[in-house]
Amino acid sequence: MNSKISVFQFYSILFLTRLLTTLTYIPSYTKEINVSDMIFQTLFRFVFGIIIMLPVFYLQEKYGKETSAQNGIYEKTKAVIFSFVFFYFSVATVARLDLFAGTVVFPETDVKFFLLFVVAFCAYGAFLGLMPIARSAVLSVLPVVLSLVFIVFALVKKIDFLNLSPLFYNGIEPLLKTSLNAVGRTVEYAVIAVFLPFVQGNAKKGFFIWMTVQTFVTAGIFFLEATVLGNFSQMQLFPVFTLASMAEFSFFQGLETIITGVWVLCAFLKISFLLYLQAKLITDAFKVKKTHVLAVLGLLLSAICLFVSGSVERFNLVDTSAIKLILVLVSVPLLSVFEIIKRGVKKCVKQ
Amino acid sequence: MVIYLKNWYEKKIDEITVPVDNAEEKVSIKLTVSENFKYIKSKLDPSFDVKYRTSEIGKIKFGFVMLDGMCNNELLTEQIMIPVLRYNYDSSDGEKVILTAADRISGSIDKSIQYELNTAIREMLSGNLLMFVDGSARAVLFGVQGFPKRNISEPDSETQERGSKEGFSESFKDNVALVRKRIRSPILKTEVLEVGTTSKTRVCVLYLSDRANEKTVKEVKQKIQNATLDICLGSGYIQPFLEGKVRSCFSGVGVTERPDVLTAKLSEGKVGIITDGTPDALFLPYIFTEHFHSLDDYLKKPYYATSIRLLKIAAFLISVFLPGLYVAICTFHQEVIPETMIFDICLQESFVPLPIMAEALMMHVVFEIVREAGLRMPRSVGNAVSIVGALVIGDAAVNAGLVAAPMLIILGLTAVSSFVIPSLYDVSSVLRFILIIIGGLAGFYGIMIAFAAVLVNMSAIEPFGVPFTSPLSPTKLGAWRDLIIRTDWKKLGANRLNTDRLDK
Repeated sequence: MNSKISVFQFYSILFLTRLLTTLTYIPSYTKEINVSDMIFQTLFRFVFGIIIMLPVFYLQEKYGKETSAQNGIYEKTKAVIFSFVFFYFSVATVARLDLFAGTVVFPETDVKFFLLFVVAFCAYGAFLGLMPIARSAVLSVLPVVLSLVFIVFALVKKIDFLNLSPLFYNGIEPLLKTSLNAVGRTVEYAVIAVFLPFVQGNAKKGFFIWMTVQTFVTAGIFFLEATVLGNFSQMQLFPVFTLASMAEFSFFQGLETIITGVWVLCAFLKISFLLYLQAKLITDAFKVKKTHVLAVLGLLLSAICLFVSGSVERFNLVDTSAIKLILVLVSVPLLSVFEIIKRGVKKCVKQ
Repeated sequence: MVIYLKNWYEKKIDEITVPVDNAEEKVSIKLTVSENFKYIKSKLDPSFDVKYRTSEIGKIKFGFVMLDGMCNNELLTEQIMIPVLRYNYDSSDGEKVILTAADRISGSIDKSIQYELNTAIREMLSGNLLMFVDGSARAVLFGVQGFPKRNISEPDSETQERGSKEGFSESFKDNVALVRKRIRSPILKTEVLEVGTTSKTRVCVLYLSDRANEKTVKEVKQKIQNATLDICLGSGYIQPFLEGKVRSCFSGVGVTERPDVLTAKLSEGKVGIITDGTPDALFLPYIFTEHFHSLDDYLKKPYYATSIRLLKIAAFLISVFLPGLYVAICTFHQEVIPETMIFDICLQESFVPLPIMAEALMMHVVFEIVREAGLRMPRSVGNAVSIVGALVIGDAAVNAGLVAAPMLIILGLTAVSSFVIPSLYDVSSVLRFILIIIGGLAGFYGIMIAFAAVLVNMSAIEPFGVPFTSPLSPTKLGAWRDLIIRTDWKKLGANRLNTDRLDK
């Protein structure tokens, strides 16, 4: 990975990709806790996020300047693990988009064609490389934020604090479990772990700012859900979409189209970025042609998503919180700890 | 499979085309006039417009070759022929005579000595007078061009309210002079190159030596020299060779018909390219925000100029997205439209037998046909096309129930908006059709995917290392005062923009 992007560009991509996870959140995963607790869940997630990222930053701090052989077995294994993680999350993102398109946007239409369309465009985005994706993310941040602010303003008069339920009504354990699940849904930690050496600027400071901003944004979205929809949000497939459809401002009504736009834009950037990372990791580790890798990945992604499309059972297979959590925990803290030990031992042997 | 198809298609191309060969043999100038004439005749005969003349003064034999209609006869006679042929030469040595004739006798400043015959022929074909002397292995070229040319007039496609009314013409030297007269400084450099194996078109690379990136200048010259072209009839022939590898409908090379605009771009460190016979100039690197600039912005009050720029951005967005969005909203997202409006639209559209996507496509195709006809046909019948177009597209189509009135409003608004930024017309026209189809098939969802793909494609363009989307992304806030908004000259004047710093 030779290209370097600025901290701002890097965290702009991560802001949008994480925002997508929040916007497409499905309450059935968090049945155990009530919606008001979801606001506080973001704080716990913040803490968990910092904890699992500590080894990554330690590794970067201590051995960041040292380069390791790209063709070593460990490097190859690492590339395969991360590629698998990113591929799994790509599949989950496309599958979620398919679920959304198939149930909300075009409930009576077969959306398989659109899936292929999306994957093809995303593969094209990945083919163009890192810089175009990073620049597009920076260009998209402002319109996305403005759209969200507009929707929030359009929802202000619908806020009803009576919709809030008692906090920690079911105890603290479901809250911790949900927070951990939320960490598992954050592929961005794995992205940071693999991409940190290629970011220009103060990545640590950027990470804290990004964590804080996304915690506030997520908490804000859950607050709106809790106060506008109340427990009704737990019955929705995509509560954020329902929220947007309730928004009204002057003669503007049904602002779900705006949220769809934000969603699709973020999904495009996320899938493109993840495909780019996979292609780059495989290309660097196995010295194969990037276009060939992207073609194979695109075909594989399309095939799996076509298989998943239209079936909730199959969707659950590719969008399981437990699997995601395991993947994130293995790829981020465990691999980093292993690498710290490995490098430490190597250093001792040398001495 | 793809590789097989590619190879198959390349074979088909080879069957019908001949590769352009840039190589040209080098031939030294012969020692006798007759030998030189023989060689030139072997190359140029039977061209009626090539005139040969030999004159003998004592033992000295002179040979002249010129192209009829390309030289100024008055200048040629008074400044070259009379002084050269009436002079008393004190030596009969060919080398001495030719140097005396070139340096001391002729009154012409524009002259050059050539040792290679094919280059000399090429120069002669550009309107120079070619002179040989027996016993000399060199030729003298006198710049006495006088071919017919159009006067300098106001550009058609870049009209301004204020400022200069001069535009580029087809004359190469006049175009360079128009820039030169605006920058009376030695830092303006003008280098001439040749493009086209057959046409040997002159191309001038202009830049300000104190601010243009040396690497960019070098790269531009290299790309022009490496351009494999048989003929070059306009700057558009060279443009693709200067663009990057990314395939896009946007271009990293700007075009202008105005010498003042080119001058302004050169002052920002850009490189200009003037092509012989073309009434426009290219400049690069060119970034997206520059599409929304015009010289009027800098001649008017900043607040007005800024608001006009925002208006232009809105017009571009309307011209690209409005029809697609209308089709998407009417087909899939009716809930977005306020209730009072949706009833009216539904009522009007219910009389139309076609689906909205087909209706939109049909109307835009008709509009493009009318526009193209208006552009190509003789001006005397242009009004007839306008009337027929207006009647067919407008009144008759609505009365016949083929088109709904709201669609006409959308078409009108889109058409007018697309003319606000002529440099983006091609882009908006192509994208509009694509978005109508995607909007009709995949709704807003599809439009957003297409928008994202266009955004990434745009972001991938990097003309000579400067990102096309700069200063928006990468964000260069310092450049916003000129490229996004327009601040006062009191602030702009003190610090000039350096294009080089928009990179990374």
